[in-house]
Amino acid sequence: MNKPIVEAPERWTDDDSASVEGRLGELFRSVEKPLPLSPAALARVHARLGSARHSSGMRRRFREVALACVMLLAGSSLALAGWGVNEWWAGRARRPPRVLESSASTTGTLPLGKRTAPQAARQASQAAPDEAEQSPDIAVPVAPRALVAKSADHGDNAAPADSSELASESLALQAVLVKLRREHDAKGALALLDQSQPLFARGALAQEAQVARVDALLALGRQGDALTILNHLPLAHIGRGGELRLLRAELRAKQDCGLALADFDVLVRRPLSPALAERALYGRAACEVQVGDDSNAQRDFRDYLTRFPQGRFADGAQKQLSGATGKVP
Amino acid sequence: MLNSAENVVPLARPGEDVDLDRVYREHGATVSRWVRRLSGSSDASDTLQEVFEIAQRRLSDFRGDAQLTTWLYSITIRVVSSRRRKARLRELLFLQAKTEFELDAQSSETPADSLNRRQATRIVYSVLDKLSERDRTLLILFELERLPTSEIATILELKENNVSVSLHRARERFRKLLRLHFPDEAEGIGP
Repeated sequence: MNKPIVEAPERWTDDDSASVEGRLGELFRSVEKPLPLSPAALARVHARLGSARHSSGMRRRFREVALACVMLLAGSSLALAGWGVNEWWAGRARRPPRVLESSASTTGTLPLGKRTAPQAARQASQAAPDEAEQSPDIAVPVAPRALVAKSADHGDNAAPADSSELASESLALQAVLVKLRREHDAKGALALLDQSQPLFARGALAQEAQVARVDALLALGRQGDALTILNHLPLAHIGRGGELRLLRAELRAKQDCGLALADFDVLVRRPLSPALAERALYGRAACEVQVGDDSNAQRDFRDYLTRFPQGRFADGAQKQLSGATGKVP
Repeated sequence: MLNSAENVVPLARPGEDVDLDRVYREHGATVSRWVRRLSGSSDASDTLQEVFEIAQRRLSDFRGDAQLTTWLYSITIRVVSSRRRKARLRELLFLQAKTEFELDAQSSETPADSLNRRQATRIVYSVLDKLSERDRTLLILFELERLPTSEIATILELKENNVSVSLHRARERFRKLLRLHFPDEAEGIGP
């Protein structure tokens, strides 16, 4: 009997109604549409493929030789290990019980009896001269391991208090970053940040914690809250300053392009990665259009097309230049 | 899209030699776009190279009874999945941060629209990444690449009926995870 055919669901992306499916459709429709690699990048991969083909024969031979070497090495190691275990076992079997007793006493688990240390060492050297040569202090009593461990612990505990605070702070921040970047759990990351707030309040990593909070808020779509924090962060002294300033500029551009332009101006003058630089330059041009500074906007759009002819916003810049009288949509 | 005019013509008939250079020239760009779509990252060069290295090794096995694009698509999905597994392992072992989702998409929008688009991309891919590899791939192929279920069935070597059932379930799981992790976005999206 044939199984009943299940109808494929209607695509969310086809649904532009106000229903639940329509809202999901809107979310999926908003996802960026990826471009193929640029012709230059494709050519580079092609060249790598060509050279990989030419060297594949040589690589195969090299791999075979390497595999043979590894197997030889593994075989030798196994043989050596087997021989070593045999020797050790034979040595143990040859060792007289008195020596065992003596060495056991070094751990403090068995009493040494009436023998003094030199006597025991002498006896040991008579019974197993090689071993005595290698360990002349074989019968010297040493502190029990538990005692050594305890004193080491004591040493750790005696570390300066501020370094332990820094350690707990960095552990807390690490937990936040793992939550945020590995588990993509922005809500959880925010909760952790709130829990550790007293720790971060005056800590050495306070700014890093604030940056993590911005990332979490942005991931949750709380752009207003993220902007509030960004407005109070000293971006010039933070590692990801350029990226954060760009985010602030883009967020400000939604409300007030005049304010955003101050950030865009700083960014355009700074050396940035190409991905950030093109966003900054296009963002400034778009804001200049918004505030009616058409001459500077045209200069920036032209500059954008010169520097990023295949850029993400090249179409928009081209459109703006061809209809120079129009406003940014 | 797989069902465009150029893709319905098989590249070679059974037994006919297939030239990898030609395959790369004709399909390299498309495969790089698939890689970006499936991985959610703009970094596609190394994955693209691996796809074509595998394609080269297996060209002799390509029987020509399936469309070449379908065959390339299935290799791409496997390579991307395998790279994602390795990346996850590296993240777990070395507590590395995951690469941000960015697809290097063309846009002619205002900075604010562009920000919203990146936001949507980050949300959708974050939730997709919490799904199983199979659910993730199904939703990407169906909702984002808009492939028909018959094509998805061929690529993933599943029955069409099975694809439909799995899609229903994958969408339900997506909805639940969206509600859990992005309650603001999921507001109004009922059970």
